[in-house]
Amino acid sequence: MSIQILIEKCLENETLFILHPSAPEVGAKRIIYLSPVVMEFLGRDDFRSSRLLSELEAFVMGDIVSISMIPRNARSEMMGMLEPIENGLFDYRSRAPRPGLRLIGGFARKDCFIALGMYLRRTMNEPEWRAAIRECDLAWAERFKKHLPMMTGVDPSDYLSNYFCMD
Amino acid sequence: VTTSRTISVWTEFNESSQLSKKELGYFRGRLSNKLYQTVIGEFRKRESARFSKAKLARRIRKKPEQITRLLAGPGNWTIDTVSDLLLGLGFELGLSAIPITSPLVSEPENNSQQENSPLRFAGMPSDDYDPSSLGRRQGINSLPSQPQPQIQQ
Repeated sequence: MSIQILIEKCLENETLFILHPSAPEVGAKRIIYLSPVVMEFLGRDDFRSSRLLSELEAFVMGDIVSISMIPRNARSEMMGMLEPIENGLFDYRSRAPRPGLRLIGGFARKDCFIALGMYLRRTMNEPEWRAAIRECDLAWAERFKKHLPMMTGVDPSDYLSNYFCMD
Repeated sequence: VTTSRTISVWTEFNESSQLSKKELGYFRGRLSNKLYQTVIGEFRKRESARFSKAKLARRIRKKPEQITRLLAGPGNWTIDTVSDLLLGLGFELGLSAIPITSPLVSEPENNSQQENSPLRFAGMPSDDYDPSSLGRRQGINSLPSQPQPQIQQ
């Protein structure tokens, strides 16, 4: 069973949602799937969630995404590869306004990101990062069984089109 | 049947209604992203012509590591940051205000919870959606800055 069929099943049982941009200039070039926790957060009426929503919509619409492929190297980048790199997990980094948020997930294929966990950056120290990565590993395995997150190395063009990398 | 959601914050202009935090935050984010896309787009063009971060840093009196951080994301940008970065690249910002129009939603929706959901679900385009409005929203462009007159020393 392909990962796409498993994604479809997740959409059916609402363990994943697909984010469609609501902006008029819609023309999706990427796909982002979100866990129910992230989707619920995006539906809130507050400044923080709406800022994240606009960023994720820009991601879907194919805007330039800055990315670091060196774990722990990302500072202002929008995405960063996480340790251990063989797990193929990345964080999507929403930095403003505070509190900063981190969405952790992996790519099912190029330009198709699946965000499974959301965390407040200020609560994340070394143990919390490890726990969050472990949690997302498990959430991924629960949904996609033997299909691991895409991991083809550290060339950002394998994962994203229209990226900006300063590593 | 798969469900898909669009969380829409697009509204019709109504001068008597108070804008929600969601609307305010969403459009702040859109503006921030448009500015970033404009600046980074111009930087990438310049970079391919061998214009380096170090050169940009020198031009706008910043350290190279500051430029690296600024170009990586718009998180802490101010209007001054945008002005400096664009000017360093040889541009200034061109702006226009464009009216907010109805959302275009891309997929039909089959979810019966639509009416009661705290999220607004995707549906068909609204009745007053005007397809001709597409393409009218490119409101931010960077314009090459005018050559400055040379001052004779």
